[in-house]
Amino acid sequence: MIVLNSSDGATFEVEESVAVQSQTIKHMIEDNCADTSIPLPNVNGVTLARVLEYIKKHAEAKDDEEGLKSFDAEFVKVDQASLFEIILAANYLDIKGLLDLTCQTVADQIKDLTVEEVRAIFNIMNDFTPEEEAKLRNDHAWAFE
Amino acid sequence: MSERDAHIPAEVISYLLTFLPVKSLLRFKCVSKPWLALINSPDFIKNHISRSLKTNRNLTIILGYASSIYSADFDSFQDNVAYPTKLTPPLSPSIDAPILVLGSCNGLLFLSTTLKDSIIWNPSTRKHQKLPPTSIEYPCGRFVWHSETGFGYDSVHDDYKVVRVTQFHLGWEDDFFQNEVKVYSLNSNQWRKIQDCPYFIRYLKLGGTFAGDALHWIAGNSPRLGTANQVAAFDIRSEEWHLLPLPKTLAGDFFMNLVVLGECIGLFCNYYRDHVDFWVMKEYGVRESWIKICSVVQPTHIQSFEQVKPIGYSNDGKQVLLEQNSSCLVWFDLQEKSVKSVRIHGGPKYFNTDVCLASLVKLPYSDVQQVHQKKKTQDRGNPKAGPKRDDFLSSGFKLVL
Repeated sequence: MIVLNSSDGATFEVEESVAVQSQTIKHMIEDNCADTSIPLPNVNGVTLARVLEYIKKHAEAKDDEEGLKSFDAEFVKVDQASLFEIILAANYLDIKGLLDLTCQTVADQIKDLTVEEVRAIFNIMNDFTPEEEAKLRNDHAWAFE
Repeated sequence: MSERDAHIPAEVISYLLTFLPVKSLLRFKCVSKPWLALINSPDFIKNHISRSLKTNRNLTIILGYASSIYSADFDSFQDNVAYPTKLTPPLSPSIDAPILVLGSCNGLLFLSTTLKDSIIWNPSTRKHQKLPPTSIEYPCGRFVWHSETGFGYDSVHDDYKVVRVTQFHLGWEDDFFQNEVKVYSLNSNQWRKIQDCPYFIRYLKLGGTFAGDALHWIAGNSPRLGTANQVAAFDIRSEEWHLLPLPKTLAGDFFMNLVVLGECIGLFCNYYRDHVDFWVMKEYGVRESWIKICSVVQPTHIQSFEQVKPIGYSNDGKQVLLEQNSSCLVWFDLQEKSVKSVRIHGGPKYFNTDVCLASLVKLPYSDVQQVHQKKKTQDRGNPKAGPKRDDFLSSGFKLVL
């Protein structure tokens, strides 16, 4: 059993065979950094719990294609803020399947949004002058229809 | 959103954006300067293509006929419907010079009406690059001739190339033949003559088949009819010719055609009015990796057909989309050997099909050419204008149709 510590002090136990779906954890174990427990300062308790839910299910139901598909579909039915947290965690823990699943979900949610809406979601400042932005929009005018 | 979102690392944003369709990415160039730089970067463009190929997304099916070409999103095909919309490539087709789709690679289409009116076009970004015309050096004496072209991506030089093989021979009873091979590079916008092809490329199909970093054509050792069919392969990176080994158990009398299925080269063998075999070479160049993925007996499974062309796999890989008799599209279940029609709403009645990815691949000379084109039109209106820009299509080229 591997013990994981989240950033906010929560502790989780998970089988090593399941935990190694995270390449990051796998390398830590191989490099012998996992004697007592593994600290994960970049992931909070709530998110870590969700991530573990994913990797546990994918370990136990490995060959059940249909079952995993419906599990994944339900798994991503969370608010966008949580999705971003899971993306960051999956990236840090290097769990490819989870990263691809969550990125595809967010991509599908934002693909039809306006530029302003995307800026709001990612908290991005518009650093174009009005003229620059107008020219860019003009270049691919049909994409804005 | 809270400040947490401001701390999404750039590489995560970059990874996330590869999951978006091209239309969204074109819009999101306006989000900020860093996003513009990212979406324009060659690495991102390549990653986006990899993602599309891996997830079977951002694919369109091109239906071409006479002077029109249409495109239909592959996603809807999974639900057995297609909604083709008309494309308007910057070409001037006519009754005698229809639009030919001679190649499709990473989202770029190689289109031609006549030998002098050829373009490489990205229908997703609506940018194009016009190929300069290049002459054919005819040998002396009487002969018959034909040109075959192919289009593909050179991963070593990060370049897209058009290859044109012009064959000269003395008829179908004679062994003699000669050819001229020229290569066009998208990056340099120039044609180059290279060494001859050692095989005789049969005049069978429009456009070489690109797979395994090579362009393929049905060929033989001589023009003589009845000699064995082989597959000539042109490695687009090294620009060298070789023969592709064919399946060991291939036998009998059949009409052979080349296809690409998934990213593998495939053979479609039509044992006329008896059955059709589909072979796929799972590992390029490895003879033992040829697998017969299915055999279709006619007319039991599919109604009597003359021409069947596989186009692509379904998302779950269990079905293959087939173009049948240039007039309909069906899903063929590899296991059940059952067939399901795709309802096509609109579009042409008869068509040739090609697969085209939606991508952001750039045409390096497109903006320069557009400026020249504009200047030409302006100059024509004002005879007193400055030096002519016509030299772009250099007078050094001999224009031959």
